Amino acid sequence: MNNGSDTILAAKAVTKRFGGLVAVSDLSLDVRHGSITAIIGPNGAGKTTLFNLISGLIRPDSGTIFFKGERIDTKRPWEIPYLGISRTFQNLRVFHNMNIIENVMTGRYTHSSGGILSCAARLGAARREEQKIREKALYWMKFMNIDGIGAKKLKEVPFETQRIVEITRAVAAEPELVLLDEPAAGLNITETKNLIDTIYRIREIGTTVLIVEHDIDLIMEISDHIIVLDFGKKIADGTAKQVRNDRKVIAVYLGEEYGKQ
Amino acid sequence: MKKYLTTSFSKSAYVFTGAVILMAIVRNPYHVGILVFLGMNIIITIGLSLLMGYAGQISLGQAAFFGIGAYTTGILTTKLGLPVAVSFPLSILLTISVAFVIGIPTLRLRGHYLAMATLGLGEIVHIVFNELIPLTGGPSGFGNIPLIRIFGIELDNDYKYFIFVWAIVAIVLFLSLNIINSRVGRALKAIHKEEQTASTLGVNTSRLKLSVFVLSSGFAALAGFLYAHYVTFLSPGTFSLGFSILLVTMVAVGGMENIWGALIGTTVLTLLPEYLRFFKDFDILIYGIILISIMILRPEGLYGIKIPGFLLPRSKKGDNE
Amino acid sequence: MSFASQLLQYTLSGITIGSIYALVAIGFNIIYNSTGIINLAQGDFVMLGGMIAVFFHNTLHFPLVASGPIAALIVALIGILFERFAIHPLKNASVITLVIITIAASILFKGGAMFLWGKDAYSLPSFSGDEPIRFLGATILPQTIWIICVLLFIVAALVCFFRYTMVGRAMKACSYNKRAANIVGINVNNMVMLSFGLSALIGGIAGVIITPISLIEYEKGSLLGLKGFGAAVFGGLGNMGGAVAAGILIGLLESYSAGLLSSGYKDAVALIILLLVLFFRPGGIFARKEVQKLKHY
Ligand SMILES: Nc1ncnc2c1ncn2[C@@H]1O[C@H](COP(=O)(O)OP(=O)(O)O)[C@@H](O)[C@H]1O
Ligand SMILES: [Mg+2]
Repeated sequence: MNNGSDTILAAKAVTKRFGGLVAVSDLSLDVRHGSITAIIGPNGAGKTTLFNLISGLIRPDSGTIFFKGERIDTKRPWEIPYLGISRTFQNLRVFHNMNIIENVMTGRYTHSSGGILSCAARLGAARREEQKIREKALYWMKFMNIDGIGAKKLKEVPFETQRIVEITRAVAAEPELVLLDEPAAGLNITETKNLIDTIYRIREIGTTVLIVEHDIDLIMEISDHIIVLDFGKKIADGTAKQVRNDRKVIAVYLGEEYGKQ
Repeated sequence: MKKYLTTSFSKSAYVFTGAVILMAIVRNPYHVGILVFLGMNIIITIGLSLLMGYAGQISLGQAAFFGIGAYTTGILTTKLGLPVAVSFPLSILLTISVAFVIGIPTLRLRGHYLAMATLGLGEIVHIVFNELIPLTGGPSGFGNIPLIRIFGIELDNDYKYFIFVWAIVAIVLFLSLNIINSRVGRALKAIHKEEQTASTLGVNTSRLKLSVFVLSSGFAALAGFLYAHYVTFLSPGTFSLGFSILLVTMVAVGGMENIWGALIGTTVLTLLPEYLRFFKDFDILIYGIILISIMILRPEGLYGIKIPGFLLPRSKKGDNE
Repeated sequence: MSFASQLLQYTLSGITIGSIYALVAIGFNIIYNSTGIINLAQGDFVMLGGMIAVFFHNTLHFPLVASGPIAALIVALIGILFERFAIHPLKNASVITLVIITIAASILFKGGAMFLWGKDAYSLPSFSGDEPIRFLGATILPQTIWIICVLLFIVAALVCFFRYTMVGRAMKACSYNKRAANIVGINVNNMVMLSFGLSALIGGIAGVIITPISLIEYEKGSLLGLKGFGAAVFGGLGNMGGAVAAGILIGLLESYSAGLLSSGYKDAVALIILLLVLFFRPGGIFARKEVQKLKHY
């Protein structure tokens, strides 16, 4: 466990309790710059809690989290995206009071700066900024293959598309690290294939991907690195091949069948 | 690029033009006077709509900010003899400073607590108006507030004042529409739905809520300023709890999620009791029945009701796309 | 009157009005516990209790012993109807909608009262005469004793109700955990309706007992409600014992400040306390730190 320059995110001995329940327990991990790293584990293993800790929504009871060498576990949630981390949510959190392009445009918040007064007056700079936000939103929608539906309301498009909108919002922030919490949940085979392709392309533009997912085939296919959690503890950590053959992982998560493949 | 400027701008211009045409039709000074008050109410409720419908925060103390704006300019011009040009910025500044100071602790509260805290604040300000007799004249109030003179024209009749007030309505509307269709407006809508999610996008939610609270208090103070120099007489009764509640009612009846809803609700509830004379003594009952029916039957408010579509300022495609 | 007896006088009147605040606060708590709603029409239940009792006694010439209970029961019925027609149909309403619904009810009750009885202020005769009782140089009105006794009686009755009756226990179970209560077969729906009825009943009783010493008019409820809410928050929202203590404390502070400082600002006292508590200890003065953190404000 080093803190070399190729580590973008590092957690050190992080513990988070909810009442008597230890959701994340003495967890240490490294995420390599430019990798696709997966966190897997049974339901309730603490994966979402880990994401919430990284994005500052909750604070660890003990331990520290570093992003590019800077300590982030003491920061406020809204400071985190400015450092270059954005995320999606397991239970899809898109804004139904805005249309699709506006949802994506909220992803550009950290790249714009107009305050309430300059937005109200909308003089030159604010107008140019708004234009820029829109162009960028369109660019990222195109990147995610959802161009042309910007004016639609969210409820007019299927659930899978709403998922993609949420990912687009995260990607539009042009983060260095993106956290995806179960992005394939509810997707069919074709949609999952498209998602895999998209994740590769996100990585290609230099963004590190940290993904939580239950679709083991997807994880095994795309991940450079897999971390397995159980009851908040790390029980395995390595490449797909290493994890697949790990006895503990087979026992608690993959099941015998998977180990034999 | 031009498109966005012209939409907010032209919509505000339509409202102004519409109002002036209405004035030309109405003519009767008494009725024009009512439309002047309507303009003032709209200035307040546009701010309240930003706060309630967009930021999702309720304020039951808006009458207090209206009052602070009115009393400040009233006292400065009569007791200290300051010119209106000086009392204007001071009254706005004092109001937004008060809003800022009380907004910091208040906006940490949510939902019901926020409602009650702002209610309490409004009531305290009302008590101060009643009790600070040397400055406010107490329950009987004070008068002789000077008229506004602008570009050498004294605003000494209802028609001139009408134009002045509705020009300001148009400006406030223009600014607010701009906010809604900007990064700040989207951040507000995000806060309304999912405060936590908004923060993961980089929105400093408490600061933004405070900004909108202060802005809405500024609009209320602006209306207070206009009120003081129109009526030229102030007493605490105007700035009561009841008025705060009426303002919230206007926004809710029209439709909280849309700024045009505030305009519609304010118009309906300002004109209804005036034109249906026999309701005069029962206006409270009528308000109550309207509000409770709307909240039960159509919680999203009057805005967007299908039938009189041609009457409503529909938002055009260019608005949001 | 000596200073000491004057102080005693202020104390007595503080306890009297404080008892009313305590009753209003209890009303807030009952509804809050079962629904999480703060009913902004709570003060109007008090107003309605007084007004309806006045109507039965002064207009229909019912005896006072009948008018009071009838009025309280009618207010309870109004509370139940309010829940059935306005609160119950709203599933998954946002907090802002709920706030506005209770505001609407408040306006409706005020408007109804004004429609029926105009803007005049009314009074009831005291329950057992107006002959003041001398006590250490101060005077006590018999009605004061009534008010304090009614408060004590209601508190005792509520304690028994929540502790020993099936319905009371079911209501309590709902306030701890609705889902679990539902699973063990409690009809949560009925409990919510009942809590509105009970809360309105207590408000109505408060209105009946206060009217003989304080005139009642259609607008009286707002300020009573606000101060009662102050007591409820001060004592920790949902905490019955806290509500009683805080209600009386606020009554005392108000009475002392009216007597010793300025009567004009007395109404501000309860409100300033409300704000200070909301800002600095939103869980109430009796709550421990951890408890405060768990709740959402
Ligand atoms: N805010 C919370 N309060 C209490 N318990 C929580 C909270 N968030 C998560 N938990 C608990 O922590 C454990 C881990 O949850 P989570 O991180 O969501 O698991 P996963 O995402 O791996 O399925 C679960 O037992 C869950 O019930
Ligand atoms: Mg999860």
